[in-house]
Amino acid sequence: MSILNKFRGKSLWMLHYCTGCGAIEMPPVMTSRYDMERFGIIPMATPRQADILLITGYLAVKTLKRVIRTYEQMHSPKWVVGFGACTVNGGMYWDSYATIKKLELYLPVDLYIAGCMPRPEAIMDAFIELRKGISSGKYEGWKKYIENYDWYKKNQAKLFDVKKWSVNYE
Amino acid sequence: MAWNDILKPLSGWKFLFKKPHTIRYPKEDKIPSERYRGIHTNMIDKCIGCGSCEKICMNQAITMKEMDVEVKEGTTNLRPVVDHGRCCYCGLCVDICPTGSLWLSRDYRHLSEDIDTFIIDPNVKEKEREGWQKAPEFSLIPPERGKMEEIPPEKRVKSFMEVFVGYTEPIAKEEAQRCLGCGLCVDACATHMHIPDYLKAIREGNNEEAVRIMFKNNPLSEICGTVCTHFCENVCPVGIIGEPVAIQWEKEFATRTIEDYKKIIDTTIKEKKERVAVVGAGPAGLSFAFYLRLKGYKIDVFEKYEKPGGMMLLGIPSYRLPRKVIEKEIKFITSTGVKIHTGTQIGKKKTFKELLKKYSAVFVATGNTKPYTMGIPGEEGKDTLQAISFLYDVNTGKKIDLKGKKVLVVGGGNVAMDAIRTSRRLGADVYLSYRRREVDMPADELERKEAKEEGIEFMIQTLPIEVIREKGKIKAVKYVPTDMDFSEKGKRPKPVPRMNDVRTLEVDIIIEAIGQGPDLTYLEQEFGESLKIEKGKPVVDKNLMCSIKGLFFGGDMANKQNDIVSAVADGRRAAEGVHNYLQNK
Amino acid sequence: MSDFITRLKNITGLNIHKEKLYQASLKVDKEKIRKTLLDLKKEGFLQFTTLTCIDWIEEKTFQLVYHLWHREEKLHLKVKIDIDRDAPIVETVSDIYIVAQTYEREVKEMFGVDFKGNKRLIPFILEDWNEIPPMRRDFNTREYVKDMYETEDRTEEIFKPRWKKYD
Repeated sequence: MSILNKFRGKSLWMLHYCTGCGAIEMPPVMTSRYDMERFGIIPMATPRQADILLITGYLAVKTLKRVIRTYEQMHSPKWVVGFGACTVNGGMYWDSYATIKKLELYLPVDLYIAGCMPRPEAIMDAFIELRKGISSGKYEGWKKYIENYDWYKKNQAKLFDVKKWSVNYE
Repeated sequence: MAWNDILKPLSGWKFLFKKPHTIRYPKEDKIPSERYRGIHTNMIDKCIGCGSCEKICMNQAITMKEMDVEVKEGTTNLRPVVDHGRCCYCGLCVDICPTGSLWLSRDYRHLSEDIDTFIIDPNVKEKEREGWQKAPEFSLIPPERGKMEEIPPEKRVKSFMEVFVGYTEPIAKEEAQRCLGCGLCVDACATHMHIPDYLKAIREGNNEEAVRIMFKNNPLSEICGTVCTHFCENVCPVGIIGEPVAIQWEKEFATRTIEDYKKIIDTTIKEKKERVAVVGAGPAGLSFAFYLRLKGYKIDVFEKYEKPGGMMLLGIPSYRLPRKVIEKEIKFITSTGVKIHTGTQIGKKKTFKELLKKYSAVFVATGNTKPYTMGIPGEEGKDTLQAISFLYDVNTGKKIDLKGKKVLVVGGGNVAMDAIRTSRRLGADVYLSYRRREVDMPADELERKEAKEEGIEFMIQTLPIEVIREKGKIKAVKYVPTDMDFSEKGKRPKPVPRMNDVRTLEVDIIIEAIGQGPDLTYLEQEFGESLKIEKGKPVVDKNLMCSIKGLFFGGDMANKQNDIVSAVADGRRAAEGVHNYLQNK
Repeated sequence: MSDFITRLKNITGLNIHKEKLYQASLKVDKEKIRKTLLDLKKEGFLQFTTLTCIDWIEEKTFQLVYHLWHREEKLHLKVKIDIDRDAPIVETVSDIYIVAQTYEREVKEMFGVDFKGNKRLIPFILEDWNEIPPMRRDFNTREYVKDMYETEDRTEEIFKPRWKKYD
């Protein structure tokens, strides 16, 4: 498996979920200024082909449903990167009725980036860290999600109807 | 197909040797701009732990945690810890920080799988750091305090009217807004007045509530608003930005808007049987009487002089503390049922032992009445005055004419300031001799400034060594300049006289104001060995009870600070102590 | 500008206050809102900018503010009506200005004001919302957030006076 992991780390396709303000930092990372293709990471339009799910900023309950459906549509192995303070602990929306505070209650986040918003270098750092971690088999959030499926669903069910918004939910 | 179609695309080769636009991170780094706001750093020694950053943070990202740091005067052991899962790097905490210890560094990279690691302790010890700091010209709090009207020096030296006019309501409200609400002043105040609470009440225009809060800790609030050593203002963190919040003047403003305290302060009393005697109707005795009376005890106060008030009435000149202020406060205290017997000295006709038999407890607060002397040749004799007796004479209305005379006052405390300014008002040319530097003077800065404005000559770093007399009258004083010896750390520097440089100054009168101590002779006569005394002051426990049961000491004669507010605090503490003592008896 | 307001007053008989340059306001009864807007539209207020609502919980009223814009005269007119907070029903203006349909949907969702006659008063941006409308002032956001999202509110701890120990 470790050889497989090594190859996985070299070629990552990223799905960026950009409803938060942090999305503004993505264009320099993707385009020629920082050029993340140097690390074999390219943006991907559909969840089915993507390996990384990048959550940029806050998630409202409404968008969380879509994110969970997207995540469950992605093929394993898959990784989630939380981007900015909002995904860690709510950030400046800590007392908003509409947004979720801790992303790790609903999705298995492999890596968080601090900042409000993080600069492109911090995002590049995260990608390098993620590549290393994937190659060494450190990040296995997708396994955690399968193992603790009931716990995640219980947390999600507090906010919305999980039957309607999950893929293959018995 | 034209030639152009083949040749034109080749022009792209001209970019071959140009530097690429891409920043090849991590091989080459892009340094953020100079004022980039990243993760916090806080100088742990410079921070005073006021908690202003915690209060201003909109995201509740900052928590004040107790840390293992040295707690000095005006600081706490609390230091900020920042949750970067909530911080949005707005920099309000940096802008409000009064010491400027909190910065936002240019370091912004923090990756982790664990959200608990985003709670970062920013406290550092190193001096060298870079980042975004508070701009020196910008402050969220106005650095200058509200201006107060003042009588000009030329006019005020001619009379004993009060120097300061007092705040007006709009200025007082504005001034109260400068308070950060940190509460460091409460720790510093001897009687722990809840300063942020009453400043808030003044800000909201509720002066009655403000006065109610004041009287919980200090029944002489108006006097303390007029004359106080204001330790609160000395530790106020706003003082690091500019001038500290004018806490004393705010107090004066709020109390003076109230005509009669009886109307707004609840003084319903459940009567108790026990009777308690108080010796000395000074600040300590009055505050003790007030608080113990509120607990229901019957109080008798014995005062040696004809009027109650003690050193406030006899020692402080009326241009600093108008007599009507003292009368107003004492009227309120007596209205609760405290009986004051004036002209009754204990220790002569009535003895302390009699009092102890007759009353359940006795509180003694007779103050510092015995002045120290310099002990130099020619000192004893006519025209050498003691500052407190001189002030007593002036304040009791005795006619003293100093017009055209040259007066030398020796000392650097507030009593010395009172002496020089009083003699200036009586028409004398005044010189002040002090043996240390001006910054070492125990007197208030404001007092010193005003004294200089009134035309008093300060002879700093001088020491009188001999008084020259001609036919019993003072003719001149010999004095020497001094040098400062800083060898003892943590203490005030020691003056070293330059004995080979003797100078003379022609004077007519010398007033000594070099401090005073308690007069315990009558107590010693009565109790002898059973009363423990150390360094000239009676030894007391935390309830202020001495070695004899039922006998309590307070005020100047028992504490080291020797000021009104400490005496008031002693009175309040002793009231608690007596109450506990009588409950557990 | 003032000429226009005077003319408007004369024609419609409404009591319009000029507040700033380019801004005026007007208060009418709840029943007259449709007639007022019809009159104003005839006078050239062709643009319906937005509809806002204010919760005056102490007076037990909702204040609805209709923002209109006159292009030629460059006048921003605010038409205000007060409605009862306990029975918040008002007639729709979506047939006069078609854009009002969406704004009324929003106000319905955030404040619970009902618009009689609006054909598209379906849920807007909130999904699965079972509480009272969130922008009402009696909705306790902090309490709701604490229950739903497992976050902590330290307001009391932060603003607790440290000097209470001296009491």
